[in-house]
Amino acid sequence: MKMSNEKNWSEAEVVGALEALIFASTEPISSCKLAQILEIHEEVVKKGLCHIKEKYDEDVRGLQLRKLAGGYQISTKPQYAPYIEKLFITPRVSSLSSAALETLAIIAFKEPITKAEIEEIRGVKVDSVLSTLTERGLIEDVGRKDTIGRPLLYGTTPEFLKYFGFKNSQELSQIYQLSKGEKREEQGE
Amino acid sequence: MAYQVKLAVFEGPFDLLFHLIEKEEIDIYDIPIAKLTSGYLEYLESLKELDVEKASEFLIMASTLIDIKTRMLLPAPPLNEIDEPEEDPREELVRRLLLYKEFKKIAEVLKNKEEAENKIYTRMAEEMTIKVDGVSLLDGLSLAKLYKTFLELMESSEEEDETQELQREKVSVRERISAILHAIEEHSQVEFTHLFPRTASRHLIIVTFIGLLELIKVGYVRVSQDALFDKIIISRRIEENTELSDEEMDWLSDEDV
Repeated sequence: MKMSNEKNWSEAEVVGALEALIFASTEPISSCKLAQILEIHEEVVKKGLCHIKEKYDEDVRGLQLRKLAGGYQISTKPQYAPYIEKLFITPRVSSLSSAALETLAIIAFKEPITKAEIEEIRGVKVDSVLSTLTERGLIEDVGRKDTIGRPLLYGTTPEFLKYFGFKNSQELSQIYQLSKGEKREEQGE
Repeated sequence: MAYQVKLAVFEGPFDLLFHLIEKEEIDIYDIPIAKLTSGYLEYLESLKELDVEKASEFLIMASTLIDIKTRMLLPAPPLNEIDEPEEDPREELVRRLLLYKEFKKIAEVLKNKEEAENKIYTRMAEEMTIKVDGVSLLDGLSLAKLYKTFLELMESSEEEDETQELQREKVSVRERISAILHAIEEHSQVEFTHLFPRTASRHLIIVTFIGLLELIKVGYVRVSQDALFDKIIISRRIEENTELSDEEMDWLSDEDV
């Protein structure tokens, strides 16, 4: 099969190749990267992805195609979670504490931000929370602030988007807008 | 005990304040500061054992509340024309409370997202190297690799019998440099691991490694590696002054171990 140099693939072939690539990649893979590998137009890729998504969305399938952290990923559908949990002996990593979630929320919308600035908002020390979040790969230091002491600045990682199932950073900022909108409503009362 | 049990509920002073505000149905834009302060202090007093670290965070807020209360009780100094009208002492507190509330809400959203995400499974990563287009992963990495291989060698030789008489070996850097050069002359190049015989003592390994580093430092040999985890090849650098003079040898090996 001449894969790389022929661009006049049938639609079925494109869909097949896309599915294989997304399945093989354990990380979300971008449409741009898919187009590069298959040497076809990104529009063709997107059309193929829509096709796969539609197929998966049919009830009889246990898998779904999701947009995640700026790429595409094949995963199981949530309704089958109880059975999958039985399959695996070791449970998933424990969920985050509310202290961790609050801290993450602040970092996600105020990044880059220093430890002191986070503590100012939360009113409590965040040292141990920050190290837990760093260990779990959800945040990282992104430089130093140009003030006295040159404190470390923290920001979220792509893993953060993946962990919470955000399509991309735009979806994340929508949440912020939404919560601000609610606040205004309350004030308007 | 009571302290710890109760604290688990509140993430910090703001969290406690919000709890009080909601419980008393307080209007956040017109906080009855005396009422809020007494509620807050009451809670703190109910905590029998104080964990200093945690309690201090709550105590700071308590003092802030009392400060605001005091300022509100004191008559405002008469305004003269330079003074700007004094702001409500509660304003800063309200601003921080609202900011905190905003993030508490977002944290709630994140929690829901996390729960939903925990129901979704993906394939787990396999041991596979993903191609990086055209870029050599080894650029600037050769010394670190060299070091790692060295450590591996050290480890493998450590597995040898541990109980034995220690006799001080007399190996000089100079000797090892000669040996390395000899090996290179003979085969035009030599693999890094071949410089260290399996049975080499720690002393020999160290001295050989120092010798190699010296040779790299003076630019006499070049170290190359074609691919990730590939063999490290040491070869002679093709340059005009091919022979090391005696002085150079002396200089190279003057840091005898």
